[in-house]
Amino acid sequence: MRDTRRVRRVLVGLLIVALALIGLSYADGKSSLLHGIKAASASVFGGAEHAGSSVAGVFSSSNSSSSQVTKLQQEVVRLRAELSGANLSKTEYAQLHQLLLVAGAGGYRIVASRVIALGQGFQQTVTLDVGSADGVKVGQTVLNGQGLVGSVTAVAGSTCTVLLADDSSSVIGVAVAPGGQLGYVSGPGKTSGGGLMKLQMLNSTSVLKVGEQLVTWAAVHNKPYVPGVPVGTITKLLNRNGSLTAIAQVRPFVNYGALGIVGVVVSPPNHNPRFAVLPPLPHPGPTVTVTVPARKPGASASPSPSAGG
Amino acid sequence: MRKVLLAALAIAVALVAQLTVLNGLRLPGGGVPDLILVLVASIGMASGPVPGMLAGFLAGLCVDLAPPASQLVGQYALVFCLAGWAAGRLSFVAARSAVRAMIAMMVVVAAAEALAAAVGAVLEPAQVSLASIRQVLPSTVLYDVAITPFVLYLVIMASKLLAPAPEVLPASALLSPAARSGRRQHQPRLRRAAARTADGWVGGGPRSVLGGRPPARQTTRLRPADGVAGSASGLVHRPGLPASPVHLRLSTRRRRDGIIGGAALGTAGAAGLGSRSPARHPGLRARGRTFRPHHGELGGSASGQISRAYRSRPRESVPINFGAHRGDGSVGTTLARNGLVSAGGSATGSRTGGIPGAVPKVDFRVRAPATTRRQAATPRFRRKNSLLRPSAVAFSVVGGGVLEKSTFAAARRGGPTPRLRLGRRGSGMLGGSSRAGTSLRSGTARVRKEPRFGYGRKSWLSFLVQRRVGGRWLATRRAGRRSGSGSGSAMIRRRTGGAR
Repeated sequence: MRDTRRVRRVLVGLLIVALALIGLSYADGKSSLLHGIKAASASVFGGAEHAGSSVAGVFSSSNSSSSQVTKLQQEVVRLRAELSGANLSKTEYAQLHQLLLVAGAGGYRIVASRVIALGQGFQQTVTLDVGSADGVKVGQTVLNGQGLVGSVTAVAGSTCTVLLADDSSSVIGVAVAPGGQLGYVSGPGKTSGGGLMKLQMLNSTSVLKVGEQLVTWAAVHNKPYVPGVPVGTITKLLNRNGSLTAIAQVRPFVNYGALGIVGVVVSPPNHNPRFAVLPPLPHPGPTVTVTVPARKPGASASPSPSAGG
Repeated sequence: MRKVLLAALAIAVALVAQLTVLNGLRLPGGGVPDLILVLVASIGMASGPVPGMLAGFLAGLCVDLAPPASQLVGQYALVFCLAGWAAGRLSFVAARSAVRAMIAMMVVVAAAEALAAAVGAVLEPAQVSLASIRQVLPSTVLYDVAITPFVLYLVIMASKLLAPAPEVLPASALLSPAARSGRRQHQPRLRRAAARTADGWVGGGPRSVLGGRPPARQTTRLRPADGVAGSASGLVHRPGLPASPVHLRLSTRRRRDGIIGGAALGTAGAAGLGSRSPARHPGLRARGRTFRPHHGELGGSASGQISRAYRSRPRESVPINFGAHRGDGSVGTTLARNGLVSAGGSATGSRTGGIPGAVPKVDFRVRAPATTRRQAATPRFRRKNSLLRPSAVAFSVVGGGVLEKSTFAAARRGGPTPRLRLGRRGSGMLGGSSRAGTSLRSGTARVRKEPRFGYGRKSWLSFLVQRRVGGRWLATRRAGRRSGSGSGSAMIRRRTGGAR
């Protein structure tokens, strides 16, 4: 079987259309035609992704244990209204709790949302279930309970697209925690190495130490990221010969492969929170000794309280 | 229409599942299966290139436009379109073997993933680096290959359920024996007998109805001498024969044409046979014999087939019935005078039963087998301006390999050149020598699908180019596309099990 003329014609036609689309979007990403198409498709596919993620959420949340849910439920019961989804799994409660703690510490005003779709191929992007109807705009910072997630790159009516901070095209201006030296962190993309970012300092005199923590540092008008959001911890110094400034490996606080509840910072803090949002440093303190009272033999076998609380 | 709707629905479901669930999986290696790509390739495999590429283009466009996408619009449309086309292009393998379909799918999917990575690396070097490609691509291909059998199975089953016509879906034939048998119903039953009487071919027996075996013709006296026209001379008269003069085609020196021993052309024709036929003729090669065209064996290519069996037999006088009408005997006369013994019989003699007084007796000094009762080579003469009918085409394909371009050309031309074309072995045409008589026994060699030595065999490249050694490719070439939707090529397609 050879290609008939019709097959060839259709193939060539489709390829030409595809190449034309590529060229169009490559030349001018802001062209009105493509913009309209993208907006329309975002509303359509966003709705589908809403439905799809909620269907998937039924399966994923069905195994949530209810032991800690009740306690967390009480903690976040006042915050539940902020989420459109009414039923949250146990992990989502924890994430929401952590997120609100971070938002409170930094003074960020956030819109809590859920990741409903993830990018295809090499794209490190996610879709959130909040959109322009919730006050989300392009360029706003997205964070979760651990730290910086990314920034909003496209907004539709009920969804928005977030470019993750670990995409290889994202560059984050950071400040190292105690001293406030400035540098920038570039995302690793989908490479091996556990998603470690790379930190490059701007000042040649700055000295880095393993374990120091990084927060975002706004450039101009809280763009591209609002200040004070935790980014990661320095894990390794990469002192290369010939490099002017210090280079280090940074392990991000956020696990970009397991995003759940995130918050879009719709209003930046009034003042720079500096390093207030950072988690406490894991310094070696005195070893805590837990003494368990000897159980009486006649006592009823009650489960010992978990140490999680 | 339902197929289109179902395909659209499947793509939409796959898109949502891919974006919401599959991309969120954290699998070892960093890659995730690309369900949409596999689905597109499966659609192409099940439905052909055009549906495949359309589905691929639209699905890719959806991937490009669906919200989390930040790549350039058209990137995945390009890649998936090519993937769907390639899978459809390879869809013929699905009709043959499921394993091959899987392998073809895997090749397509792996190539498409590599192409997607390459396009991304070219268009968006900031996001797609070589390191990330090296990290993600192998595991992605691996997961794609892992889900390929399931998706392909589902797609093929769905398309089979939705499409009652199995011709549309080459792959469905894989899974539905009913569909295959349904196709075979329309296959002409091939038999060794000559054409029907009204076919324009002389020599169809009166009882030669479709599907029946040709009766042994007791009335035929076939002279098994070398070069004797296995003439239809003994045949009884049948009513309804064409009254128009029968034109013989003498010595068409084409490949696998038998050459009657036209005196002038005999040697040259033999040389032509000897130089070309052993190299190309599958039947001859299959027997492991070389055709030896020298004097006395000019009775058509079939003579080489059995000559060994008769070479040891004692010589014997063989009477030949030369036709008494219309100077038919001149053929034989010429031949006899030249010592070339491949005499064409008389067509009209066969019709009328001959006139006994006009039957010369020729003593052939060449190797002559013992006179066993043999079945006649059924002569087929073409009437002038007779159109080829499908049945005739079929028979000639099966029996004699006369399905050549010249046949069709002559049919179109209206046969300006009266020629007697001698059949190959099995063709049962007139003038195959006595050896052509065995054609009725050896019969339908080319119906069989089992490859003989080298013929119709799959080469290792056949997987990709869908050509076999000889076989269909040869037959298609010979039948020509000019026959178009005629039954000739359709029959060949059906016979050879072509997918599309």
